[in-house]
Amino acid sequence: MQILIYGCTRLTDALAPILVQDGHQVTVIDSDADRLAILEKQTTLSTVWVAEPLMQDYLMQGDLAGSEAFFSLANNDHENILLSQMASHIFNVPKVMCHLSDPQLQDFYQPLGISVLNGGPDSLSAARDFLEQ
Amino acid sequence: MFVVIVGCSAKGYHLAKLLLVAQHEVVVLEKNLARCQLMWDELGSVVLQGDGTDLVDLRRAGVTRADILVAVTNRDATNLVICQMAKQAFSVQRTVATIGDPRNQTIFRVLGVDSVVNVGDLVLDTLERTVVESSFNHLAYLRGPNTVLVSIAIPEDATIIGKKLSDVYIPEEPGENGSDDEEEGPLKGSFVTVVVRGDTAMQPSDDLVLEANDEVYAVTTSTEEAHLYQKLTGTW
Repeated sequence: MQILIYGCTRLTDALAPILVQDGHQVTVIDSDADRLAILEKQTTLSTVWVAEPLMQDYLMQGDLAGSEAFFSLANNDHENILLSQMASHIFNVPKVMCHLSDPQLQDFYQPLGISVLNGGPDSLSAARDFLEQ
Repeated sequence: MFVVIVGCSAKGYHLAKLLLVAQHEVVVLEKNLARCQLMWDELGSVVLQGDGTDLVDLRRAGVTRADILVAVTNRDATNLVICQMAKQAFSVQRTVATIGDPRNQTIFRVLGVDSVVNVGDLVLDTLERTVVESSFNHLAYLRGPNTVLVSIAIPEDATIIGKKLSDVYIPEEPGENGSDDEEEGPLKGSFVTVVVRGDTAMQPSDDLVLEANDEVYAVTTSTEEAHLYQKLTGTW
Protein backbone atom coordinates (compact mmCIF):
# COMPACT_ATOMS: atom_id res chain seq x y z
CA MET A 1 0.00 0.00 0.00
CA GLN A 2 1.29 3.49 -0.80
CA ILE A 3 1.36 5.49 2.45
CA LEU A 4 2.15 9.15 3.04
CA ILE A 5 3.12 10.35 6.51
CA TYR A 6 3.15 14.03 7.38
CA GLY A 7 5.47 14.93 10.25
CA CYS A 8 8.73 13.30 11.30
CA THR A 9 8.08 12.88 15.02
CA ARG A 10 8.75 10.19 17.65
CA LEU A 11 5.57 8.48 16.59
CA THR A 12 6.81 8.47 12.98
CA ASP A 13 10.16 7.04 14.05
CA ALA A 14 8.31 4.16 15.67
CA LEU A 15 5.56 3.63 13.11
CA ALA A 16 7.35 4.09 9.77
CA PRO A 17 9.79 1.15 10.11
CA ILE A 18 6.93 -1.15 11.09
CA LEU A 19 4.91 -0.15 8.06
CA VAL A 20 7.94 -0.67 5.80
CA GLN A 21 8.44 -4.11 7.36
CA ASP A 22 4.82 -4.93 6.61
CA GLY A 23 5.63 -4.33 2.93
CA HIS A 24 4.16 -0.87 2.47
CA GLN A 25 5.69 1.91 0.39
CA VAL A 26 6.18 4.77 2.81
CA THR A 27 6.91 8.46 2.14
CA VAL A 28 7.53 10.91 4.99
CA ILE A 29 7.13 14.70 4.68
CA ASP A 30 8.68 17.16 7.12
CA SER A 31 10.45 20.49 7.28
CA ASP A 32 13.30 19.13 9.43
CA ALA A 33 15.94 17.78 7.02
CA ASP A 34 18.11 16.29 9.79
CA ARG A 35 15.35 14.18 11.26
CA LEU A 36 14.40 12.93 7.80
CA ALA A 37 18.03 11.95 7.12
CA ILE A 38 18.23 9.96 10.34
CA LEU A 39 14.98 8.15 9.59
CA GLU A 40 16.14 7.38 6.05
CA LYS A 41 19.30 5.70 7.40
CA GLN A 42 17.30 3.42 9.66
CA THR A 43 14.82 2.10 7.18
CA THR A 44 14.05 2.03 3.47
CA LEU A 45 11.55 4.75 2.71
CA SER A 46 11.46 7.92 0.68
CA THR A 47 11.34 11.37 2.24
CA VAL A 48 10.26 14.78 1.00
CA TRP A 49 11.76 17.86 2.58
CA VAL A 50 9.47 20.90 2.56
CA ALA A 51 10.03 24.52 3.54
CA GLU A 52 6.45 25.35 4.42
CA PRO A 53 4.77 22.14 5.45
CA LEU A 54 1.16 23.26 5.42
CA MET A 55 1.03 24.22 1.76
CA GLN A 56 -1.05 21.88 -0.36
CA ASP A 57 1.55 22.00 -3.13
CA TYR A 58 3.99 20.16 -0.95
CA LEU A 59 1.52 17.47 -0.08
CA MET A 60 1.13 16.90 -3.79
CA GLN A 61 4.91 16.49 -4.05
CA GLY A 62 4.48 13.60 -1.64
CA ASP A 63 1.74 12.31 -4.01
CA LEU A 64 -1.08 12.64 -1.51
CA ALA A 65 -3.70 12.13 -4.23
CA GLY A 66 -2.10 8.83 -5.27
CA SER A 67 -1.70 7.54 -1.72
CA GLU A 68 -3.96 4.84 -0.33
CA ALA A 69 -3.37 5.95 3.25
CA PHE A 70 -2.34 9.18 4.96
CA PHE A 71 -1.08 9.64 8.50
CA SER A 72 -0.90 13.15 9.94
CA LEU A 73 1.55 12.76 12.81
CA ALA A 74 2.86 16.29 13.43
CA ASN A 75 3.30 17.55 16.99
CA ASN A 76 0.66 20.24 16.41
CA ASP A 77 -2.87 18.85 16.81
CA HIS A 78 -4.48 21.66 14.83
CA GLU A 79 -2.23 21.08 11.82
CA ASN A 80 -3.09 17.40 11.93
CA ILE A 81 -6.80 18.21 12.00
CA LEU A 82 -6.52 20.52 8.99
CA LEU A 83 -4.36 18.16 6.96
CA SER A 84 -6.23 14.96 7.67
CA GLN A 85 -9.54 16.55 6.69
CA MET A 86 -7.88 17.96 3.58
CA ALA A 87 -6.66 14.46 2.70
CA SER A 88 -10.16 13.00 3.13
CA HIS A 89 -12.28 15.72 1.59
CA ILE A 90 -10.07 17.28 -1.13
CA PHE A 91 -7.69 14.50 -2.13
CA ASN A 92 -10.12 11.63 -1.43
CA VAL A 93 -7.52 9.47 0.27
CA PRO A 94 -9.40 6.30 1.37
CA LYS A 95 -7.68 5.78 4.73
CA VAL A 96 -6.72 8.76 6.87
CA MET A 97 -5.44 8.77 10.45
CA CYS A 98 -4.84 11.81 12.59
CA HIS A 99 -2.58 12.08 15.64
CA LEU A 100 -4.18 14.13 18.43
CA SER A 101 -2.52 14.50 21.81
CA ASP A 102 -5.26 16.62 23.41
CA PRO A 103 -7.92 14.30 24.92
CA GLN A 104 -10.60 16.92 24.42
CA LEU A 105 -9.82 17.17 20.72
CA GLN A 106 -9.84 13.37 20.51
CA ASP A 107 -13.32 13.26 22.02
CA PHE A 108 -14.54 16.02 19.75
CA TYR A 109 -13.17 14.80 16.42
CA GLN A 110 -13.65 11.02 16.74
CA PRO A 111 -17.46 11.33 16.37
CA LEU A 112 -16.95 13.62 13.37
CA GLY A 113 -15.49 10.69 11.47
CA ILE A 114 -11.80 11.30 11.99
CA SER A 115 -9.76 8.23 12.90
CA VAL A 116 -7.71 9.35 15.84
CA LEU A 117 -4.28 8.07 16.85
CA ASN A 118 -3.78 9.09 20.47
CA GLY A 119 -0.02 8.48 20.68
CA GLY A 120 -0.47 6.06 23.58
CA PRO A 121 1.13 2.62 23.93
CA ASP A 122 -1.37 0.90 21.63
CA SER A 123 -0.93 3.45 18.81
CA LEU A 124 1.27 1.23 16.66
CA SER A 125 -1.10 -1.73 16.72
CA ALA A 126 -4.05 0.61 16.21
CA ALA A 127 -2.43 2.01 13.06
CA ARG A 128 -1.73 -1.50 11.68
CA ASP A 129 -5.25 -2.66 12.43
CA PHE A 130 -6.62 0.42 10.73
CA LEU A 131 -4.71 -0.33 7.54
CA GLU A 132 -5.95 -3.92 7.49
CA GLN A 133 -9.63 -3.02 7.96
CA MET B 1 -25.79 41.42 17.59
CA PHE B 2 -23.58 39.27 19.84
CA VAL B 3 -20.16 38.53 18.36
CA VAL B 4 -17.52 36.24 19.85
CA ILE B 5 -14.03 36.96 18.54
CA VAL B 6 -11.27 34.43 19.11
CA GLY B 7 -7.77 35.88 19.00
CA CYS B 8 -6.89 39.38 20.14
CA SER B 9 -3.92 40.22 17.94
CA ALA B 10 -4.17 43.34 15.74
CA LYS B 11 -7.07 41.90 13.71
CA GLY B 12 -9.15 40.85 16.70
CA TYR B 13 -8.46 44.04 18.58
CA HIS B 14 -9.48 46.41 15.79
CA LEU B 15 -12.55 44.36 14.90
CA ALA B 16 -13.65 44.39 18.55
CA LYS B 17 -13.20 48.15 18.73
CA LEU B 18 -15.25 48.72 15.56
CA LEU B 19 -18.05 46.46 16.76
CA LEU B 20 -18.17 48.10 20.20
CA VAL B 21 -18.43 51.54 18.62
CA ALA B 22 -21.33 50.20 16.53
CA GLN B 23 -23.05 49.17 19.81
CA HIS B 24 -22.72 45.43 19.32
CA GLU B 25 -22.15 43.02 22.18
CA VAL B 26 -18.64 41.61 21.98
CA VAL B 27 -16.52 39.04 23.80
CA VAL B 28 -12.90 38.52 22.78
CA LEU B 29 -11.23 35.26 23.75
CA GLU B 30 -7.43 35.42 23.96
CA LYS B 31 -5.13 32.63 25.10
CA ASN B 32 -2.02 34.65 25.93
CA LEU B 33 -2.26 36.16 29.42
CA ALA B 34 0.29 38.93 28.80
CA ARG B 35 -1.64 39.99 25.71
CA CYS B 36 -4.88 39.90 27.73
CA GLN B 37 -3.44 42.21 30.38
CA LEU B 38 -2.54 44.70 27.67
CA MET B 39 -6.00 44.39 26.13
CA TRP B 40 -7.83 44.74 29.46
CA ASP B 41 -6.42 48.26 29.63
CA GLU B 42 -7.56 48.96 26.08
CA LEU B 43 -10.90 47.18 25.77
CA GLY B 44 -11.89 46.41 29.34
CA SER B 45 -13.79 43.37 30.52
CA VAL B 46 -14.93 42.21 27.08
CA VAL B 47 -11.56 40.49 26.82
CA LEU B 48 -11.57 37.01 28.33
CA GLN B 49 -8.51 34.89 28.94
CA GLY B 50 -9.02 31.43 27.46
CA ASP B 51 -8.36 28.93 24.70
CA GLY B 52 -10.67 29.14 21.69
CA THR B 53 -10.13 25.45 20.97
CA ASP B 54 -11.31 24.48 24.44
CA LEU B 55 -15.02 23.68 24.75
CA VAL B 56 -15.20 24.93 28.35
CA ASP B 57 -13.61 28.28 27.49
CA LEU B 58 -15.83 28.69 24.44
CA ARG B 59 -18.89 28.11 26.60
CA ARG B 60 -17.55 30.59 29.17
CA ALA B 61 -17.26 33.16 26.38
CA GLY B 62 -20.95 32.64 25.67
CA VAL B 63 -20.84 31.02 22.22
CA THR B 64 -24.08 29.18 22.94
CA ARG B 65 -25.97 32.40 22.28
CA ALA B 66 -23.52 34.03 19.82
CA ASP B 67 -24.88 35.24 16.49
CA ILE B 68 -21.45 35.15 14.91
CA LEU B 69 -18.13 33.63 15.84
CA VAL B 70 -15.03 35.15 14.24
CA ALA B 71 -11.74 33.20 14.39
CA VAL B 72 -8.79 35.52 13.79
CA THR B 73 -5.83 33.77 15.37
CA ASN B 74 -2.63 33.80 13.34
CA ARG B 75 -2.84 30.10 12.47
CA ASP B 76 -5.15 28.79 9.76
CA ALA B 77 -5.38 25.35 11.34
CA THR B 78 -6.37 26.79 14.71
CA ASN B 79 -9.03 28.96 13.11
CA LEU B 80 -10.48 25.86 11.49
CA VAL B 81 -10.68 23.97 14.79
CA ILE B 82 -12.35 26.97 16.49
CA CYS B 83 -15.00 27.24 13.77
CA GLN B 84 -15.68 23.50 13.69
CA MET B 85 -16.16 23.47 17.47
CA ALA B 86 -18.48 26.47 17.38
CA LYS B 87 -20.56 24.88 14.62
CA GLN B 88 -20.67 21.28 15.79
CA ALA B 89 -20.74 21.68 19.57
CA PHE B 90 -22.62 24.97 19.95
CA SER B 91 -24.55 25.30 16.67
CA VAL B 92 -23.37 28.87 16.11
CA GLN B 93 -25.32 30.34 13.17
CA ARG B 94 -22.43 31.99 11.36
CA THR B 95 -18.72 31.25 11.61
CA VAL B 96 -16.06 33.42 10.04
CA ALA B 97 -12.35 32.63 9.76
CA THR B 98 -9.32 34.42 8.39
CA ILE B 99 -6.76 32.39 6.50
CA GLY B 100 -3.20 33.24 5.52
CA ASP B 101 -2.70 30.56 2.88
CA PRO B 102 -5.11 31.06 -0.05
CA ARG B 103 -5.06 27.33 -0.79
CA ASN B 104 -6.90 26.65 2.46
CA GLN B 105 -10.02 28.42 1.23
CA THR B 106 -11.60 25.33 -0.34
CA ILE B 107 -11.18 23.01 2.64
CA PHE B 108 -12.60 25.66 5.02
CA ARG B 109 -15.70 25.94 2.84
CA VAL B 110 -16.06 22.18 2.45
CA LEU B 111 -15.90 21.77 6.22
CA GLY B 112 -18.70 24.27 6.79
CA VAL B 113 -17.02 27.54 7.75
CA ASP B 114 -19.57 30.10 6.56
CA SER B 115 -17.26 32.94 5.52
CA VAL B 116 -13.56 32.78 4.81
CA VAL B 117 -11.54 35.99 4.71
CA ASN B 118 -8.53 35.29 2.58
CA VAL B 119 -5.93 37.59 4.12
CA GLY B 120 -3.11 36.25 1.96
CA ASP B 121 -4.87 37.03 -1.30
CA LEU B 122 -6.11 40.42 -0.13
CA VAL B 123 -2.59 41.51 0.72
CA LEU B 124 -1.16 40.05 -2.48
CA ASP B 125 -3.76 41.75 -4.66
CA THR B 126 -3.22 45.10 -2.99
CA LEU B 127 0.53 44.75 -3.41
CA GLU B 128 0.05 43.70 -7.01
CA ARG B 129 -2.10 46.75 -7.70
CA THR B 130 0.38 49.04 -5.98
CA VAL B 131 3.53 47.62 -7.52
CA VAL B 132 2.33 46.79 -11.01
CA GLU B 133 -0.08 49.06 -12.80
CA SER B 134 -2.26 46.34 -14.09
CA SER B 135 -5.25 46.35 -16.41
CA PHE B 136 -6.54 43.32 -14.52
CA ASN B 137 -7.74 43.54 -10.91
CA HIS B 138 -9.27 41.14 -8.45
CA LEU B 139 -12.01 43.15 -6.75
CA ALA B 140 -13.79 40.70 -4.48
CA TYR B 141 -13.92 37.02 -3.65
CA LEU B 142 -17.51 35.87 -3.76
CA ARG B 143 -19.12 32.93 -2.06
CA GLY B 144 -18.85 29.67 -3.92
CA PRO B 145 -15.63 27.91 -4.82
CA ASN B 146 -13.00 30.12 -6.44
CA THR B 147 -15.55 32.70 -7.58
CA VAL B 148 -14.05 36.13 -8.05
CA LEU B 149 -15.16 39.55 -9.32
CA VAL B 150 -12.56 41.12 -11.60
CA SER B 151 -12.17 44.31 -13.59
CA ILE B 152 -10.40 44.33 -16.93
CA ALA B 153 -9.49 47.44 -18.93
CA ILE B 154 -9.65 47.01 -22.71
CA PRO B 155 -6.30 48.08 -24.24
CA GLU B 156 -6.14 50.16 -27.43
CA ASP B 157 -4.90 47.31 -29.60
CA ALA B 158 -7.25 44.57 -28.44
CA THR B 159 -8.96 42.51 -31.14
CA ILE B 160 -12.23 42.70 -29.23
CA ILE B 161 -12.67 46.44 -29.97
CA GLY B 162 -15.60 47.06 -32.32
CA LYS B 163 -17.04 43.62 -31.71
CA LYS B 164 -20.33 42.89 -30.03
CA LEU B 165 -20.21 41.27 -26.65
CA SER B 166 -22.21 38.36 -28.04
CA ASP B 167 -19.71 37.77 -30.87
CA VAL B 168 -16.79 37.07 -28.66
CA TYR B 169 -18.17 35.89 -25.43
CA ILE B 170 -21.15 33.80 -24.53
CA PRO B 171 -22.31 33.99 -20.94
CA GLU B 172 -23.54 30.66 -19.57
CA GLU B 173 -26.48 32.08 -17.65
CA PRO B 174 -27.09 35.68 -18.65
CA GLY B 175 -29.33 37.95 -16.65
CA GLU B 176 -30.81 37.27 -13.30
CA ASN B 177 -28.53 34.49 -12.09
CA GLY B 178 -27.07 35.85 -8.85
CA SER B 179 -23.34 35.69 -8.40
CA ASP B 180 -23.38 35.04 -4.71
CA ASP B 181 -26.03 32.37 -4.55
CA GLU B 182 -24.61 29.26 -2.95
CA GLU B 183 -27.60 27.10 -3.80
CA GLU B 184 -26.92 27.56 -7.52
CA GLY B 185 -23.70 25.57 -7.17
CA PRO B 186 -20.34 26.54 -8.63
CA LEU B 187 -20.47 28.99 -11.50
CA LYS B 188 -19.35 27.59 -14.80
CA GLY B 189 -17.36 29.95 -16.96
CA SER B 190 -17.57 33.70 -16.59
CA PHE B 191 -20.07 36.46 -17.25
CA VAL B 192 -19.92 40.22 -17.59
CA THR B 193 -21.85 42.16 -14.95
CA VAL B 194 -21.25 45.75 -15.99
CA VAL B 195 -19.23 47.75 -18.52
CA VAL B 196 -18.00 51.23 -17.59
CA ARG B 197 -17.25 53.68 -20.39
CA GLY B 198 -15.98 57.07 -19.27
CA ASP B 199 -18.27 57.96 -16.38
CA THR B 200 -21.17 55.80 -17.50
CA ALA B 201 -21.99 52.32 -16.27
CA MET B 202 -23.77 50.20 -18.86
CA GLN B 203 -25.66 46.94 -18.49
CA PRO B 204 -24.08 44.28 -20.65
CA SER B 205 -26.39 43.39 -23.53
CA ASP B 206 -25.49 41.10 -26.42
CA ASP B 207 -25.47 44.11 -28.78
CA LEU B 208 -23.05 46.16 -26.72
CA VAL B 209 -20.02 47.07 -28.84
CA LEU B 210 -16.81 47.27 -26.86
CA GLU B 211 -14.46 50.24 -27.22
CA ALA B 212 -10.89 50.89 -26.17
CA ASN B 213 -10.46 51.85 -22.50
CA ASP B 214 -13.78 50.30 -21.49
CA GLU B 215 -13.67 48.82 -18.02
CA VAL B 216 -15.29 45.40 -18.03
CA TYR B 217 -16.42 43.98 -14.68
CA ALA B 218 -16.91 40.24 -14.78
CA VAL B 219 -17.52 37.33 -12.48
CA THR B 220 -15.16 34.48 -13.20
CA THR B 221 -13.28 31.63 -11.54
CA SER B 222 -9.61 31.19 -10.82
CA THR B 223 -9.40 28.58 -13.55
CA GLU B 224 -11.21 30.68 -16.14
CA GLU B 225 -9.78 34.14 -15.42
CA ALA B 226 -6.67 33.80 -17.61
CA HIS B 227 -8.87 32.75 -20.53
CA LEU B 228 -11.22 35.69 -19.97
CA TYR B 229 -8.34 38.14 -19.73
CA GLN B 230 -6.83 36.80 -22.95
CA LYS B 231 -10.18 37.15 -24.78
CA LEU B 232 -10.77 40.72 -23.67
CA THR B 233 -7.28 42.14 -24.01
CA GLY B 234 -5.46 39.88 -26.48
CA THR B 235 -4.79 40.40 -30.16
CA TRP B 236 -6.19 37.28 -31.78
